[in-house]
Order: sequence, then C-alpha cells, then structure tokens
Amino acid sequence: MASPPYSLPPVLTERWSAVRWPATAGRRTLTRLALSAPYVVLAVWLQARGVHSLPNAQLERVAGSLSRPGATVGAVTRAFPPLGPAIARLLPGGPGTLGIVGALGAGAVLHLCWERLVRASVPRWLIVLLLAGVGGSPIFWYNATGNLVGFVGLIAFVVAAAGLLDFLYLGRTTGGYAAGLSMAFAVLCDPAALVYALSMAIAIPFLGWERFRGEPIAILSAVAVVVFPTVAAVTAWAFLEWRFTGTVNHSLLFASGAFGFPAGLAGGLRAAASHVGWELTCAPVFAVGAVSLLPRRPMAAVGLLAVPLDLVLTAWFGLHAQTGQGIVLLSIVGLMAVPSRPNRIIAAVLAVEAVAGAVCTVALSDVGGTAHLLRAMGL
Amino acid sequence: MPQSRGQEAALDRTAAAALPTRAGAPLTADRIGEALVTSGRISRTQLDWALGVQRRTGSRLGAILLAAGLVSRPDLYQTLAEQWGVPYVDVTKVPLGMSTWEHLDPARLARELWVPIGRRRDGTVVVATSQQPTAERRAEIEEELQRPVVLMATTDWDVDYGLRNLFRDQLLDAASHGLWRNDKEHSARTVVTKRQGAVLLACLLALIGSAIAAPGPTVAVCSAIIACGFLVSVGFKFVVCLVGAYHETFVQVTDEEAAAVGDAELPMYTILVPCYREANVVPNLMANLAALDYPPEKLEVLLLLEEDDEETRAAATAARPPATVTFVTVPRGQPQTKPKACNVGLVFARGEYLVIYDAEDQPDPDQLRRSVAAFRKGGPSLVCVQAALNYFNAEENALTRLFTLEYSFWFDYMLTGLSAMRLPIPLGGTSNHFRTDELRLLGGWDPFNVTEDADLGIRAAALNRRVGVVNSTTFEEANNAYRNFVRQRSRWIKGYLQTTLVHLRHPVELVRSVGWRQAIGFALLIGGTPISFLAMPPLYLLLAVSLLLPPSAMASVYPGWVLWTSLANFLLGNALMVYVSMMGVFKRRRHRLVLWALLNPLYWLLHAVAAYKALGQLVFRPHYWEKTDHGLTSVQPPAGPH
Repeated sequence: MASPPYSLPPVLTERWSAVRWPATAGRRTLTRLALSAPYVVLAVWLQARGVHSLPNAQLERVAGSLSRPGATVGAVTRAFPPLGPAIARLLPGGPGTLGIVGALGAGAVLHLCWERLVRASVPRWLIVLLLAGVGGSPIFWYNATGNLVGFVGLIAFVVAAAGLLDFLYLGRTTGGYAAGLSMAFAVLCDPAALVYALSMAIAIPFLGWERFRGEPIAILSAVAVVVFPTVAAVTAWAFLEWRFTGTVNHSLLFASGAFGFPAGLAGGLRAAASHVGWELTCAPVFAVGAVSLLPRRPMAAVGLLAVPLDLVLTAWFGLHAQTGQGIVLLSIVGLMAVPSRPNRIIAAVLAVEAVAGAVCTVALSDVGGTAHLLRAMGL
Repeated sequence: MPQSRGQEAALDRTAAAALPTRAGAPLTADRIGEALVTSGRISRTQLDWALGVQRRTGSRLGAILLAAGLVSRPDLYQTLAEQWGVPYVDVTKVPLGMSTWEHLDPARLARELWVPIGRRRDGTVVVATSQQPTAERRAEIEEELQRPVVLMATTDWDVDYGLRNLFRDQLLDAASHGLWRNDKEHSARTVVTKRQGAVLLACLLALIGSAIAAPGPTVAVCSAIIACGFLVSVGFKFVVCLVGAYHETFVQVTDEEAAAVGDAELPMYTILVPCYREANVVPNLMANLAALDYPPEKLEVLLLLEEDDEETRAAATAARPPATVTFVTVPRGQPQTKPKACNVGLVFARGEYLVIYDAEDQPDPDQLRRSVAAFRKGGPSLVCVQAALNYFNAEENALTRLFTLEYSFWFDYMLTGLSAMRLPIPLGGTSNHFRTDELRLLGGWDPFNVTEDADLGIRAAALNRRVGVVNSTTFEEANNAYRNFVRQRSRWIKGYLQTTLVHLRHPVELVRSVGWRQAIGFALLIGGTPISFLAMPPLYLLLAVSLLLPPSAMASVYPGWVLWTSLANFLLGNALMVYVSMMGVFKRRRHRLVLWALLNPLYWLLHAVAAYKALGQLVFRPHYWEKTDHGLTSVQPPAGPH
C-alpha cells in the first residue's frame, strides 16, 4: 500500500558506508590517489619538460589579468566562468600545477566509476578492463593533464550523474544535493556544463519514470531540485554582471566564443552532429551501456540519448571546444549505465567494446591538443 | 495554618482502624484480582483478560484495570485498603492545612506517593498513601516527619491533589524560580548581565562615534559585516544540512529495533500536555493520544491546565478522558508560561521517560516505543531525543506551505546534521523525549526563557549531556494566520536571543566546558539565526538601492568590492536557503511544495518583521509569552496512523 505523501520516506536501513567502495574514507582516498598516480607522473614529467597545454596556459593568463593593478569589480564580474580563474589564482606554479590538479581529479573520476561498477556487481576483471579502456586513452590523459577547466567541469558532471542515479533510483536526497550542487559547480567551471545541466533536466523524466510513475508533479519537482543550483548560480552571476558592467550575457556566452555559427545555422548543426557521431564511435561503451540498459529500464535508456543530444547542442552553439571532452563524457556516462549484474553476453560485449574503444581513441586521437601531448611524449 | 479540633476529630474517626503491627504479605495480582471479583467490582472474565494482559506486559493488575476503565480509582484503592488492612481516605474531602510541612519536598513526596493530611490530638501525623503501607515504609515516613504516623490508603490522584493543595505556593515558587535559585547563570531571568551590558554599550558607542566621524566607511564596514555574517550563518546551516543529508541512510532506530522492544520491557512513560485556552483542540488530543501504540497502563498523561482556564478544563472533562489522563492544575502566578506549567508537571511525573506534546499534536503511533529503543541504543549519556515535527495542514495557504518547507529542512536535515556532528541541538517545541531523572538534574525548563525547549537542549550540551534525534514524526497544525505567525515567530526569535545571552555570559567557560566546535556551533546556530533575520531588511534595502542607482553612483559610500560582495552574499545565502527548503519537502514527498521554496526570500521578510519585534520585546518585555492561537485551521487532521 502506498504510504501517504507526507510520511517519512521508506526507511533506508543500509548505511552509506555499505554502498561506498572501499568502505572506509581512508581507503577511498588511497584508491583515488593510486588511480591518479599515473596521471600525476605524466603531469610532472610534462611540467619538467616545459610542455604546457594551450587551455591551461590560457587559464593562467585569464587569472593573471584579474590581478592586474587597477582591475575593477567589473573585470571580475566579466570573468565567467569564475571558478577556473579562481583556482588558477589560488594555485602557485603556473600551468604545470594546473595539470597536476587535473591529474589528481582523474583518480577521483575513475574511482567514482569503479565504485558504481562495484555496486552494480560487475565482475572485477571487467571493471579493470572498462576503466583501462577509458582511463588509458590519450584523450583522457590530455583532458586530465591539459584542460583543467573542462576536466573539473567533467568531474563535476560525473559526480552529478552519479548523484542523480542515487537520487532517482535509491531515493537518497544526498544524491540530489550532489547532482544539483555539482552541476552548479560544473557551470561555474565550464560554460559547456550549462548544456549538461539541460541534458540532465531532459533525462530526469526518463530516468525517474519508474520511481515517479503516475506522479508528474514529482518529476517536475525532481527536475527543479536538480537544476535549481545551476539556474541560481547563472542568474545570480548574470544579475551581478548586469549591475556592474551593464551586460547580461557578455561573459556567459560571447566571451567563450559561443553562438557565432560561422558555418550558418544548418551547416553548424550538420557539423555538430557529424562531430558527435565521431565521438560516439570513439566511445562505444556508451552505446553498449545504453543498449544493455534497454531491456531492464527502457525509459532510462531513452533518457541517455539526452547526452549525445546535449553534445550536439554544445558543439552547435560553439560551447564545446576542447579535444575529446565529449568522448570522455560519453565513455563515463556509458560506464554509469552498465546494468547491474550483467550476464555473460553483456559482459563479453562490454569487454570487446572496451578494447575496441581503446583502439579507436588511440587511432583517432591524433588531433588537436591530444596530438600535441602525444608528440611531447614522443608517441 | 493550624488545624481545627473538628478536623482532628474527623481524621481520628477516619483512622479508627489502627495499622496492623506487622505488614501483611505482599499483594499478588491474584489476591487483588480475586478481591475485586469477590466484591463485585469486576467480573471473572474481566479479571482473566487483565491477567492475560499482565502476562504480556508485566504491568500491575490494578493499572491494567484502571487504564481499561474496568474499575474506578476509588474502587481499586478501597479494595487495596481492605487488603492492606488500613482505612481508605478521600483526600479531596479532608480539610488540608500546611502549617508544619513546609520543610518537605513535594517532588519527593509525589515520587514516593504519600502526603501528610493532618495531625491527630496525640501528635500522630495522618499520612495518605497509594503505596502498600509496609512497616519499612512507615518507618521511612516517620523518620522524614520526625513523628509517629498513621497510614491510610488513598488513590494516586488523591496524593497529587493533596500535594498540589498543601504545597501550592512551594510548587509555584519552585516552578517559577527553581532554576534561577539553583543555577542563576543558566536562568534567563536576568536578561543581560552587567558585563554584557557594558560590552553592548561600548559597541553601541563605538558605532555611533564612528558613524559621526566617518559615516561612509562606517556604513560600508557595517554592510560588509552584515552581509558576511548573513552568509556565514546561512552557510553554516547549509553545511549542517548537507551533513544531515549524508546521514539520511543512517536510521536512528529501525522498524525492527522498535518492534523488538517487547511490551514487558517498556517502562512507564509520562506525557506532559500543557494546555492554555485550547478548548477547541482538546477532543482531538484525546483521540491522538489514544492512537499511541503503547500499553495504556504504562502511560501517564498529565494535562497541565492553568488555574484560571476553566474553559479548557471543562472541554477536557467533557471529552471523558481515560483514567491514564490526569489533570494537573498549574498555580496562577508570574511568569505564566508553558515552561512553568511543565515544571509543575515534572514534579508529578512518575514515568522513567517523559515527553511533551502540544494539544494539537498527532505523533506517529510508535513514537514512544521508538524513543525507548533510541535511549537504550544511545546509552546513558543520551538524555533527550527529539522527534521530527511536520504539519498536517501544509497546503492550507501560502503561509502553511512556507512553514512546512522550513520545518521539513529543519527537522529532517538540520537536526539530523547537528546530531551527527555532535553539536548542540535546540529542541523543538514539542515531541522532546527525556530521561525524567536526567531532566530533573538539568533543572527542568527555564520559565523565563520563551524558547525554553531550545535553551534546555543547549543547557544539556553545556552540561555535557547528549541530545539526539529519533526518526519519528509528530504532525502539528501549521500557523495559518500572518499576525499569529509573527507573534509566534517573535517569541521564538526572542527566545533564541535570550538563550544566546544566557549561554554567552561566560564564553571562555563555555568553550572550556564544551569545546570550540560546540561553542562555535551554538553561536552560529542560536545567535546566528536571529542575526540573519535581522540582517534581512538592510540587505533588501541594499538590493533595492543597487537596482535604482548604478554602482558608480554608490561608490562614495560603497566601494565596488563591498557592494559586489554584499550583493553576492545576499544572493548566495538566499539561494542556499531556497535549495535546502526544496530538498526538505522533496524528502518528505510533498512534491507540490517544492517550487514554493522560491518564495522563501519573502517568507524571510516575515521573519525579519518578527525579529525586530522580538528585539523590541527583549528590551521592554523580555519575559512576556506571546501566545500562539491553535485550532485555527479548517483542515481536519488525517485519521489513523501515518
């Protein structure tokens, strides 16, 4: 019998530690550090060789411009998204340090995926293979060590996605907080996250279809609690920008080169779709994850389509500039979509696609910043 | 007042039968049960049923029969008197005088269930008791009175009646001034100490001086301080809520743990229900208490009725309460507050545990069982657990919706977070469950503090006791009238200000006794809450001015950074509060209320009005109790368990 709407929610007898992996905070930290070690080594090595990525160097320049004598409040207010420059201002050591910070974040992302796969009772060998497929790709190396703003935004999105699944499937409002706050954080790091938030809002009705069946108001409120922090952050920033500079969206959109549509609207859309198609090819785990989810949670599988749709929009709007960020995003979402206790067939397909994905990303990563990184590494 | 010869004669006649020189054998259930059957007061079937209940719950047979309404109190105690071989006395019909009993402690007598009701010509004291009058008992009473005694049987109600009448002034004084006499430092009777007054005056003078000398910078600095203080206070709450959310998977007492406490293990539980001019909600109260899943014979409901409140008394009588409900008359006198009434009730409380409910409360049926389990799980240092409060009339109007938003985050996230962080917990107005003995050791409630519950929670922490939360809900009536709301809220905010002033009298000692973390937590929560409400109007004003004037025009008073920071803090603080409110109602599955959280900034304006009223009252009427009207809702509370 359904309980009245105002009673306490069903009791969750499971302690949070029981669903964390590893169970203790200390071990989780050690796991994250261990997973990030290769990327830290790479970042340190790159720093020692004086190799700096363009995005991190650019971030340092923006941060430096904010500290110029005579800088006004208006200049600060135009520095959207503000968290990247703020991080860069706080961290000494220039672009190299930014690379190390991103490398540390890589461990956190991989740990989060690992934890989710453990909770989904995916076999250990397959977890290792899947994570190696994602974390071992040069695109991931590049984003971790060379694109702090984009990568931090991506980490925030991953945390948000994991939280959203807890929120919608397990009824944990902790997950709702994680989803909402992480998305706001992501937007304050990377304007592209605005579209991630949009995709999340689109996906919620599908992902929450089973839980909120027959309760449209519950779906609406779930969307509201997840997107509110993002909307509040952007609106508040826009208000401050308007009061102090007189423009509302100067920093938010145009400063990042968005909405230029150099190839025209239709041409831009075609190019964006083609670009995302290429990214999907490089991230077969997404397709496998979505398809394997179809028999168990068909609506959730449909909801996953919001992610490529979001990537098309970001590419079309010109918000999404860094090499391979979409591939990493799709791969991680694919990992999150791996169904619980996959049968042998799904496990085998996942294993094959993990290898295929790794081959694809290696083969197709000789572009942009990744190519620069590989050349620096002598590969 | 000396007794008259007539009184003495009456007592002599009543006590004609002398006590047996040797106490009789201990009464067994069978003996009293058989006696009641033999005397025709109950039937054999009723006795068998009661014995069955006794085997299950371990309760006393008399208590079972009383609670079930199968026998009246006088009938039961008259039968007991016959069994005990002592005369029965109806204390309500005996003229009482107090001339020589002032040295006695009525609280102790209430616990030991005896009362001296007069003195015979030969100097023997006549004592009425509702406990078996054994020789040991008589010896103890004689030692206390320093005179020979004659014991008579009476009902427990008669004992209480006698104590209330004999010790009226003593009870009133203890309830009103007990804490102040025993522990002045924790009493809000003194609003501001001399030292605090000096500090406040110095701050005020410094502010005035700097405003005259440098008005622009003073405004800017004050504005920055207000904005930062606002954000720190709100930020603290937000962090605590996040911790509370993180701990939502930790259930204080699981359903299995609550169910595992068998009826036989359940202790006596006292429920205090202070009522004042609440005749309209008393019938609901009886129904709600009857819904509690607890052996009725182990319940003691003390309905605390003010001496001058005939209307509520009449309504309560008309509701035909069961025998577990006792009317306790609270002597009239200042301050006429709920905590004073509760202190009177505490004197007569005989339960191992005690809880306070308001007259309109609708607790979860298993709340008492769950609390017993929580106490057993929490160990002896846990002296109090607070149940969550929420509203049954949440969607009555905009105010009740916003009130529900606030309560949902407060009780479901904040208190859980505070408990998890081992920070002081300000108790809510009702549904605080105590270990009764520990509550007495804490000194009971401060009748001069208008949020006596919040103060008690903090005092418990200051005295190194632990206050926790229990995962059970009491549904109340949300205030649905704006003026009534402001009255209620101004009392709460004034109480928080009082509590802040009381516990910050010796800040260094506070830090030494509870540590930095708890002291800062207390300051941010109890002190920060009124401050954040008081900060709202200046921040709104700043927002309005900044909308009308460009920042460059304000630069002479507000340097760009100050204005930017102030506005950013204000926006961020409001967004955080909107967000936790949204999450709170989402957790409660009141999905229709989620978007109402966007109106939270307006709701806070109401708080601001109440806060300034509270500040004014703190200065001019510090101990005045703003009475909240209940029973205004047109929404019927849902029947049955939630």
